[in-house]
Formats: sequence, C-alpha cells, structure tokens
Amino acid sequence: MSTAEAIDFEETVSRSDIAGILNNRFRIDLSAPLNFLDKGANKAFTASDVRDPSAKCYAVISNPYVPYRPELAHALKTTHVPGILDLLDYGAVKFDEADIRQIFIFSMPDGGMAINAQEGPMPERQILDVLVPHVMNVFRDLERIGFTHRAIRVDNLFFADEDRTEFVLGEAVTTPPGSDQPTVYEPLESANANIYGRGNGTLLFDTYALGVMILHLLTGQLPRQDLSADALFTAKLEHGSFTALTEDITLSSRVHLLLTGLLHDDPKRRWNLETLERWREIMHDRPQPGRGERRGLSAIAFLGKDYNSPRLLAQALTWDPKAAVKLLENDKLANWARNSLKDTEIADMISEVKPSSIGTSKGHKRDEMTATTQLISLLDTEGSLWFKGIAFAWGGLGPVLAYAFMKDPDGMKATLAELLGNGVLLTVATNDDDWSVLKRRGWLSMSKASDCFEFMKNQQQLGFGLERCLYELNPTIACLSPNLVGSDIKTLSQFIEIAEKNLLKSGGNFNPFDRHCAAFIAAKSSGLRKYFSRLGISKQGDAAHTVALLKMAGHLQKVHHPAPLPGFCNWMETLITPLVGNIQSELRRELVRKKFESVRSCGNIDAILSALDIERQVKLDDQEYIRAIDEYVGAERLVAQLQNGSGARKLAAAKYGHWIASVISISALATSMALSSLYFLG
Amino acid sequence: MAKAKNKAAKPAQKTGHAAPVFWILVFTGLGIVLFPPTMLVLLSGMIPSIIAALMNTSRIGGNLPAMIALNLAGVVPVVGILWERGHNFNQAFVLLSDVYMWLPMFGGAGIAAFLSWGVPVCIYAAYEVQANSAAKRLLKQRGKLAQEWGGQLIQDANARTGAT
Repeated sequence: MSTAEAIDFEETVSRSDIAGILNNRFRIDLSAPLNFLDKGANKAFTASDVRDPSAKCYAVISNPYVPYRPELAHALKTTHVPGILDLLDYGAVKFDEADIRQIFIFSMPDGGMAINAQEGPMPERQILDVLVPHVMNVFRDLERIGFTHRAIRVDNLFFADEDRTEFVLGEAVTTPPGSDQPTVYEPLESANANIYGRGNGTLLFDTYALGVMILHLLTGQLPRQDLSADALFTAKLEHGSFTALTEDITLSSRVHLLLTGLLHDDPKRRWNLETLERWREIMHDRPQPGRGERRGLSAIAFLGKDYNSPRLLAQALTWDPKAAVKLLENDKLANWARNSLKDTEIADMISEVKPSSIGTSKGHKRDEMTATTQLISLLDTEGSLWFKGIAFAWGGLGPVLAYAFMKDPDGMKATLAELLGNGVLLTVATNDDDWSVLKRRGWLSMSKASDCFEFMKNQQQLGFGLERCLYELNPTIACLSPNLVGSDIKTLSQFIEIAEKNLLKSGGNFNPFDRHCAAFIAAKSSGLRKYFSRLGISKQGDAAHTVALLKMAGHLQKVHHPAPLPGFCNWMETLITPLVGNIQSELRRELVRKKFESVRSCGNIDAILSALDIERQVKLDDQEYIRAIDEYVGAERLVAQLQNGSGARKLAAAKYGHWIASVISISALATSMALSSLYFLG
Repeated sequence: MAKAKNKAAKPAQKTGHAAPVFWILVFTGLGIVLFPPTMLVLLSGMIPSIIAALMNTSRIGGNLPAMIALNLAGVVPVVGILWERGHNFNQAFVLLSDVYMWLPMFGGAGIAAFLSWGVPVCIYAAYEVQANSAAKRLLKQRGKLAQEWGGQLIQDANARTGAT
C-alpha cells in the first residue's frame, strides 16, 4: 500500500475559476491552462501584466511537493540572462483564505515550441549556426552567475518571436534540477538516479544535454527511445554515450565532431564551455569518442557473466545484493580491484567492508544491502549513490525525499528512512580518512548526514523522523501537513496564521502539531528544543505532553504572531478537556473549567496556561486523590470497628462500672466509719 | 521453661488470696474470744457479703469489695449502737431483733448489688451513644469523599482493602 501524501493537485489547481494577483501586478487566470508549458507536476496557466496589458506572460503554479530552485530563481529574477525565458516575478498568491500557491511568472515564448510532431527534424545549419551559439551564450551567462540550467531538452526549447527565428530556452527553476529530462539527456553521473535526485550537477551536465538535444533535433525523435532506462544506462556504460546514441545514424563531420566532444562520458574529457566556444577551430586535436567504461586487465565473474569494468559491475551488483556480498569472501573483489584495476586505495577500502554487524566500528548495523551500497559507492565513485533500488546524484537526496512523500513508489519512504537511519551515509562519508570522498561526491554534507542520522534515531518522537529530514534537506518546501498542504506555508508566521484560520473554521478539530507540522516547526525554529525534548519523554495524552505542546504553541505565538489566537484556544480546549476530565476531584475540575472559560477570551496561550496552571493542578489532584483513598479506607475501617465493637464496649463498661461501684462503696464505708466514730466517741 | 514459670505463678496467686482470708479468720477468731456480742452483730450483718463470697467469687469479680464495703458501712453504726447501749449478748439480741437495725445492714448490701449492676449498664449506654455518633460522623465524611472524588475512589479504595 502506498503511503504517498500528495493531494490531487490537478483537481485542486483547476477547480478554481477565480484569478489571483501576484504582487499587485500579474494576474493568473486559472481557467486558461497552457498544457504545453506544464513542467512535470507543475501546471501552467495564462497570466497577464496589469501594468502592461500588451506584455505576454504565463504562470507556473508550483506543486507543493515539488521543491523549486530558490537560488537560481533569485538570480534569474535579479539578473537578466538572455536566451532563457525571463522570470518576471515569483511568490505566493492567495486565491482563497487557505488556498495559497507558489507562482512563477515567465515571459511567453511567442513562437511556441521549437519542434513538434508535424514539423519533423530541424535543419543542421539552423542547429549549428543559430542554436548552438545561442546556447553557448546562455552557458556563458549561467557560468558567470554560477548556475547550471539542467533542463536543456527539445520540449523545453522555444522560439521567442512569432517569426520563429530566435531560440529561447525554457525555464528551469520550478522543478528540481534535471527532473523533467528524459533519461537519455542525463550523463552517466546521474543517468540511473531517481528523476528528482539528479542533482544540480555542473555545466558539463548541460553540455551533455546539449549534445543529446542536437541529436534529437537532427533526427526529430528522442534518441534510443527503444531502450529502457536501465538498458540505456548499460549501453552507455558498455559502448560509450556517443556510440550508443549515434548508432545507425549518419552524421556530418561537423556534427560528428561536436557530438564526440559533448557526449564524452568522462567529465574530464567532455567539452567544457571554453572548448565549445572554439569548436569550429578544432581541426587537428579532434577528440576520440568514448569507448565505454575503463576496462580492467582481467574480468571478474558475477551472476554468470564476466565484468571487467567497475561501473558495469557496480550496476550489476544492484540486481542481487546477496550475491554481491559473496564477492567479499576471501577478498575476491578487493584482489580484483588491486590486480586488475591497479587501484590499491579502492582495494583497501573494499577489504574493509563487512557484510554483517560483527567487527564493525561505530556499532552501525550493516546488512547485505548497506554493504552493497558501500561497494557500489567505491566502484562507481562518480555515479549516483544507490541503496535498495533508490539512487541519487550529487545533492539530490532532498528532492528525492520530497518525491517519496509525493508518490512513495514501492515503499520509497521506508527505504529512505532506513538509509538515513542506519548510518550508511555516514559510513560512506567516512570510508575515506580525510572525508575527501564525501566532499568530492557531495551526496550529502557530513553535518547534514549526521543530523539526519540523529533525527532518524528519534523517529518516533514529534519533530523528528523522515519528515524532519525532508524539511531540513529542502529549505524551500512548504509545510506538507494534510491540513495545511495547499497553503504554501514557508515560515512560522504563515504557519500560525493559516493554522489559526483552519482551527477557527473547524472549531479546533484538527491537530496543528501533527508529524509534518512538528517537523516543519522544528526545522524552521530555534529555541524550541526543550519542548521537543519534553514531548519526547512524555506519552501522548499525558499532562506533561499536552503542556509541552501548549507551551510550544505559546512560544510560537509570542515570537511569531503576538495577537490573540481564538482558533488555537479552541484547539487548546480539545487538549485541555480530557485532562480536566481526568482530574478526580469534582471541586478542582469545576474550578479549572471555570478558570479556562474566564481566560480563554484573551486568546493568549501563555496567559491561559499560567492561569490554569494545569500541570500543578493535575499533580496536586493526584496527590490528594491518594490521600482521599487513605482517608476513605481509614473511615471505612473505623466504622466497621465501631459497628462490630459492641462486645468490647460491654466488657470495658463492666470493668469501669465495677471500679466505680467499688469506689462509691469504699467511700460510703469510710464515711460511715467516720460519722459513726464522731457520733459514738463524741 | 514456660511451664516452670506457670507453676511458680500459681502458688503465688494462692498465697495472694489466702493472706486476707487468713487475717479475716484471725480477726474473727480473736473477735469471738474478746468481743463475742460485737462479732455476733458483725457476722449477722455481714451475711450477704459472706453468701456472695461463698457463692461464686469469680463471677462477682470486682463486685465483692463493693458489696463488703457497703455492707460493712451499714453494720458499723449498728455496732456503734451496741457499744453505746452496753456491750452484751442481751443488747446484741435486742438489736438483732429490731428490724430497723437490719435495714442499714442489708440495705447497704442491696445498694452495692444495685450499683454493681447499674453503673456498668449506664457506662455501656454512654459508650454506645459515643460510638454511634462517631460512626455517623465517619460515614458522613466517607460520603463527602465519595461525592468529591467520584465512584472511582470507591473502586480504588475497595481494590486496596481487597488487596490488603
């Protein structure tokens, strides 16, 4: 069963026929979709500039589960990069009280898409003389501001003018880098990664995509669309991208030269911007096409097949981790790396990989899967990090987490939770003594890997777990709580504001501190650690747990929204009521109820809490209840004793009565003797 | 060891009872020899006490001293009258034949018997009243506790008393 949390975005996005306005300037018309400009899970709609009605633009509405590229968005808004659709503005737009969406406004490409099914291939002259120089200019500008495009492909290429002479690249900010690219557009470094985990990459990723796009435009069809993603990856590894993609295609010498340089699988030999700019001048130093992965001197057998390339072997290891671990027996794999690949450093690291928890350092449990991950990370140092069927490239883990929360295919969330919680990321990072392996790969920084490991250690607690990792690794993602997901909540002030409205609407009947909200708050706040610790050590429903939640809400109100919050007070009532109901003393119960009723109107959570002093009241009640039981039992015992003590009382009365009778009698005798002696003796 | 102690205690008890009886017999013997009319009146007046003592001393218990004391208190004035009128048998018989002389002697014994029966009854009645009022007060207090703390208190209290 899938545990994806995504709402039906298409339905919600198009249900509204109202228009929203971004920054008092751009009007978004939700009734006019532009499907050809949709970007993955994000939807495009017609937009208009209120100040300049003649300007043509369109809006992309961001799906809340899709992290955008904030740095690139900021750079493209402040710096004009010719050759890319202008990002005119972006921000949150309110369509309804709780319907707030992240909107990006782009200039409209008047000439439409560069190629469509009817038109067929593009002339080589136009590609080489117009498109390539144009894209080179874009690369130059992007390199200047320090970004990559990562969305260079045919269906993201447009004509800026109606005459269809000026190319313009489509936007690349509303989705994670490379997430919309067909697999063939991705170089070996990210080709096997999850679509959201392809990472920012480098400009060399863009030059590779340019090569594939040229091929796509020349042939009019997606290269090697007959192959599955896995088969395509294998073909690229076995034969090299150039050979794998240009097989059966006749190329002119100029295109051959260009693609040889652009589609080289070795990033060090792939053409960079400098080489690309003078590609026409290259006459003698023509690059040799890649011939697939480097080969070892001898092959190693795995699953009945011989492998002499470490990357191909790494790919094969993912198919059967149990068999992969058997390669560690007798240092078979390490010896192969040492003797065949002549790489003693990797061989030493492989020999340190242990398939079980016995003899491992740091106490991390390593099973076959984690051992296989370690082996793959050592054999394919430039590629994606693989774990149980999920792979992600440099910096791609954050968006992969968002993808898992959106779709959760094949229990992806559980797998990612295991990856983050079992310490394999830390192990891979610290395989190398100077951590240079991690720094070079950039899968995840050491501090973030360590933080996520801590969050997963306490995953049962509120404010921790996979949700916390999601918000820590995706700083721009909105709060994805099921009750708040359509409101584009990015800050704690927004959180309080929207949660307050929803609580008022629902009469306090939703939990503003569910796992998502708590993780979001923990990721965005400082100074709430003590409350989360208290939540961790108390049980849900306990007075301490409730008070910690309320105190946290009070702290948030004080810092982020110092105004009355009647909605939160409604929610507070739903929390306090069972606590008050648990108070045994009727007197105290009524007292607390009356106090709450008298102070709730102030809307200040802190003030209400201090007036109620609920924790102390509950503690006192507990103590007094024990005392009351003692008194009750004591009274019962005494009553029983009194009711059954008639015989004892009778005995006591007889004894006392006889004593009194004796005293009276002896007194009478003494009196008689005294009076007689006085009378008779004179 | 314990048996030895019990054996030692029994002769001591016997000695304790025997001593007053011995002195009473010595006093009675001397009295009969030295003051026969007085002893006649005394023994006649003390008949209720003698009977009470001979009947069942253990049943009467603390009653006997009261009986003896009040009986003696009634006999002492009669002995005084005997000595005033002349200490001889004639006067002793005259006094013993006067019904008004028997009245204080046997009346004292009667009063002693009444006190021995009545005082414990009164005290028992007072004890009962006191116990009933205390029980009522405790039941009221228990009811108040149950009212304030609810049925759970009764269950928990019952559980505790059941556990103990």
